[in-house]
Formats: sequence, structure tokens, C-alpha cells
Amino acid sequence: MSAGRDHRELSELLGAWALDAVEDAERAEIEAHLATCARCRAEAEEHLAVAAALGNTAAQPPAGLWERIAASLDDTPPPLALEPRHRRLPRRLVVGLAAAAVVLFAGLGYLLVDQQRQIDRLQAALLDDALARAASVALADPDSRRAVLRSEDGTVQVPVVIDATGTGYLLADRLPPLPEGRTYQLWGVSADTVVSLGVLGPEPRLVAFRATIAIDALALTDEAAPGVAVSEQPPLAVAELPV
Amino acid sequence: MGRRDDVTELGDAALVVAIGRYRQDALAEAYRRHGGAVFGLARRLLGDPHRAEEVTQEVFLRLWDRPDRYDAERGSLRSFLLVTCHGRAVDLLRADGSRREREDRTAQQAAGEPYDLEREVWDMALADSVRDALGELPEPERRAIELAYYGGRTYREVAELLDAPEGTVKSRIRSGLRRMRAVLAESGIGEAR
Ligand SMILES: [Zn+2]
Repeated sequence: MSAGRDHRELSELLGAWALDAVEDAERAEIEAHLATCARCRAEAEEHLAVAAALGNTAAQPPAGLWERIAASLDDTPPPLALEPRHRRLPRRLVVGLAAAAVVLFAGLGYLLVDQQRQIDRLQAALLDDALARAASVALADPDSRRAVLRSEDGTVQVPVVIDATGTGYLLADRLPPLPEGRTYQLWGVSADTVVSLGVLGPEPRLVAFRATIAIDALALTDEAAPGVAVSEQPPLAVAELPV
Repeated sequence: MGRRDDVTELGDAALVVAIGRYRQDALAEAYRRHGGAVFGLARRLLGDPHRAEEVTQEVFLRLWDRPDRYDAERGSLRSFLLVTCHGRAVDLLRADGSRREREDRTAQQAAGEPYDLEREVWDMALADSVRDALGELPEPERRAIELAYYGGRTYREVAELLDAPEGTVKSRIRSGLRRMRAVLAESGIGEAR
């Protein structure tokens, strides 16, 4: 291998690198380059997220494996309840959600980074906030339903997660602020009705809501404050929820 | 529920912080959430459940010893553990020459015909949405990614198997992953209009 390959040559190898499909010497060369090249690092992380999605399954670990892992730690193993905390979903569904979670988590990462760029105070508030913690628990739970509200042109993207108990969290940080006298409003759409799930204000961030009926889709509108009972606006963004 | 130190209430990032404080209950919770996925990937690559268990054990011991390696801003804990698992399983495959030889012969036969690695790959249940995204790729990109990721081969080995130039295989893998990312972002998160 020729020594000292440049950005262009090494960037061509990033896909293979993410799949562990390079030789050891190349891996070392690429990783040294990643340490200094932000562009390649960004691309490499995107490839890794896809690679992880390729590796996602809904397999059950064999009985007794945790006990063997715990036994090789230094101290006494803690008790572990391996039973799921919620009802089990059909395997097909769990698999789909797990894949969706990978993509959604990538989005959440951006959210955190964006905020860090703004003000540290915001970041601290987000991390300390009980609401943020509850939302992250819901995000990590494979039994939660996840979706992204999108505008037709793709400029508005609002991740949403609804846990098994029907509590939903809207990660609305990146919505543009509305002018005075306007408010965002969230709607739940089922086969035969549309209900308001909440009036979010002109500058929502992380919002919790209750999904009280069986909802197939969510929609977001821009309304006159203080919100309306029946919307006549076309939705700014919509999401179909996975069943 | 709701106790502040109840690890089952923590998000993955906070869970890893707790692991860094040597809390075994936090590692147990990480295993509860992701142990099945890690084991499933190891078994798919290695075939042998016993070796898959060893790799799974290694992955979680590595998390216990070096929780600082996980950077929450770069992605989910699940992704991090699966990437670790894949790397370790591939190391084992490459150290195992006899198995590789046998597989290469099978793959070489398959490479000439309408491609048949699918059977082998999809034996283990594969995420439906990922399979769909992979299925939407142009055939040459899909083959290259499958041989590399599920077969644990280097792009050079893939190039030989497919009788294609190395540079072509590199770029097929790269563009295939980009395309999959776009498809997953659309379909994985539910239908948007
Ligand atoms: Zn670079």
C-alpha cells in the first residue's frame, strides 16, 4: 500500500471501513485521518449508523448469558429481571421500530449538538429536565411508537415518540418561532376523527402530550392564539404512526 | 417507577454514565435492552451460538471496562454495541481460515449464477425495513454490501469474488450505504407525505 494517501483516496474507503471491510493497515490509516478530518468523520458516522441498522435483529439472548457476564465482573452480580416491562409486540414490529430508532437517535444527536452550539444553558436545561429524561426513556423503549412529522417540502422535521402508555413527546426544538398572536397546535388523526392533542405555543421545545384515542397519524398546524377546536388550516407537517 | 436512581428509567446516555460509576445494575439494564440484538448479530456472522455468546460477553465487558468509548452525541448505544460486535466477530472470522475457505468456495459458485447469498443471509431474521432498503439498492451495490458486512470480507476479497475492480467495489459499498441511509430515513420513520 502506498503510504500517505490523501483525503480523496481515504474518503473512498469510508464505506468499506464502516463495514469492517478494510485490512488492518488501512484501518489504522483511515482512523488516523478521521482524527483530523471533520468531513470524513461526519461521513463515517453516517455509514456507521447504516451499518448498525444492517446488524439489527430482534433475537433473544440465550438463557444464562447475563449470569455468565455478571460472574466475570468483579463483584456480586445484581439481580436481573429479563422479562419485558411491557406487553410484547409481534417480532416484525419490534424489528422495524429498532431500525427506526437508529435513524431517530441520529436525529436526536443533531438536536443536542445544535443546542450546544447555541447556549450551554439550554443544553444543561435539556439534560437536567425531568421531561427530557422521560422522553429519552420513551425513545429507548422498543415498545414505543416513533415517527417524524414532516412538511411536504421536508424543511420541517419534528421527531415524535409515544410510549406504550400513550404519553407522547414531541421534540420540537427546531420549529421556527411563530409571530405574535400565533401558536402551533398538535392534532391526532384516527379513522373517523381529528382531535386536538395540545396547543404548543409560538416557540415549543420539548412537549409532552397524551394520546387519548387510537391515533393513526399526527398533524401540526399554525393557528391563531390561543388555539382552535377545529382547524381549518392545511397542516404544516404530518406523520403516519407505525401500527 | 420514578425513583431517581432506578436505572430502568434512565436513557442510554445516562445509563452509560452509571456504568462508568461501576453500577452493575446499569450494565444489566443495558444488556436487557440490547443483549438480544448483539447476540443476534454475532450469531448471524459466526453461525455458531457458542462463539456468538463469547462475542456478546466480550462486547458487554468492553462496555463495562471502557464506557468512555461511547459518545452519546455520535449515535445510539445500540449502534455503538452493534458496531463493536461486528468488528469483533469479523476478527474471529478472519482468524478462522478453514471456515473462510469453505465459504469462499460456496460464494464463488454463487457469484457466477443469479446470486444466492440471500438464503444464507436471511436465514437469521433480518430487520424488515433494512431488508427493504437493501432490496431497493442496485444489485451490484447490494451484493458488495452483503458480502462485506454479513460475510465479514474485506473489499479486496469482495472484488475477487465478484471479479470486479477494487475501486469499483469500494465505491459501490460507499454509494450503497448512502442510498440506504436515504431510504431508511424515509421508510424507517413512517410514511411522510
Ligand atoms: Zn477527509
